[in-house]
Amino acid sequence: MNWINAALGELFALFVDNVRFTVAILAWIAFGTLELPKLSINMGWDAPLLFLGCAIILVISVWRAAKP
Amino acid sequence: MDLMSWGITTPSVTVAIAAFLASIVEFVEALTIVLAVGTVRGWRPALIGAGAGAILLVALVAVFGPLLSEVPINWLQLVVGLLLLLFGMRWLRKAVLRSAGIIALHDEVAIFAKETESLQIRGAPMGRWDPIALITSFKAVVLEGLEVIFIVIAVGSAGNTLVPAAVGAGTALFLVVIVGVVVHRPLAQVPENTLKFTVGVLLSGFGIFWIGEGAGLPWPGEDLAIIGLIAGFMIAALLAVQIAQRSPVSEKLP
Repeated sequence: MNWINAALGELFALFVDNVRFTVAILAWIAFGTLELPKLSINMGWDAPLLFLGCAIILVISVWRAAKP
Repeated sequence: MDLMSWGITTPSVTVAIAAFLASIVEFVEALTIVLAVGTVRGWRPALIGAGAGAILLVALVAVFGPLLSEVPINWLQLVVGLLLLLFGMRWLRKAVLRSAGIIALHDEVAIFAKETESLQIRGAPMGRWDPIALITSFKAVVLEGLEVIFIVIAVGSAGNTLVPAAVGAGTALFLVVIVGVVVHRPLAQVPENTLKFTVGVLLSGFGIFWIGEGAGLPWPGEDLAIIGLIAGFMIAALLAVQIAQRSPVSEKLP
């Protein structure tokens, strides 16, 4: 059982390292795929905005990790 | 005959490169443990454990692989894209922090030494079927191999490019095994953080692309948008390294 728990832990750790970072990505993706198309911005911008949000989350998360 | 008629397209080449680079990192990590087991407790149980792990991985792919074709393509793209994005951005964040000197670099020699010491503490090898050696080797291959399978399926399935992904991973396995047999020590010269940085950028690009496709959000330039997304993540990551390098260190990750 310990081995199975360890394997499940490893599996979880594949996707989650910093919980705040993961939650921010999930929240942005949920907003970007469910709500962004309803805001009647030009449809061609929805997908690039999805990327832009993730890039900003990465930069902010690294900045937070590095600041005193 | 042009490259397109051979199925060699921009996405399939990018998929093969992503699978190759990601798999090299995982295979090197598994090799380090198997080498430590073989050196300390004998090659027979180390190789049997590794072989059993490989057989389990092949069985998992054979059982669960065909189920993927049953999943509607847009759901597959959404779920695989999300997992790929989380996996890729986790690697990318860590690689950025390592590049900036915020956290320590992954050290295969140190891991080899630690694993060797841990195996020596557990006493002398217990006969031909040394269970400690078998289980340690088996676990390393299964855990690292699961990551390789995830990467191959994730980058390959959503875009119908499983073959190039598998070829990329297979080439990585072949190279690591050959080099491992020849040098017989941890592959410390592999620039692991550079590989993880690159793979993080590639997987994040693929992940966000599939999420957009699965959610029905059109990408400018269609499939070619992948190249732009990869470039975009690369720029964001390099910018993040610059920002982190200018800040005093505060977070120490394991």
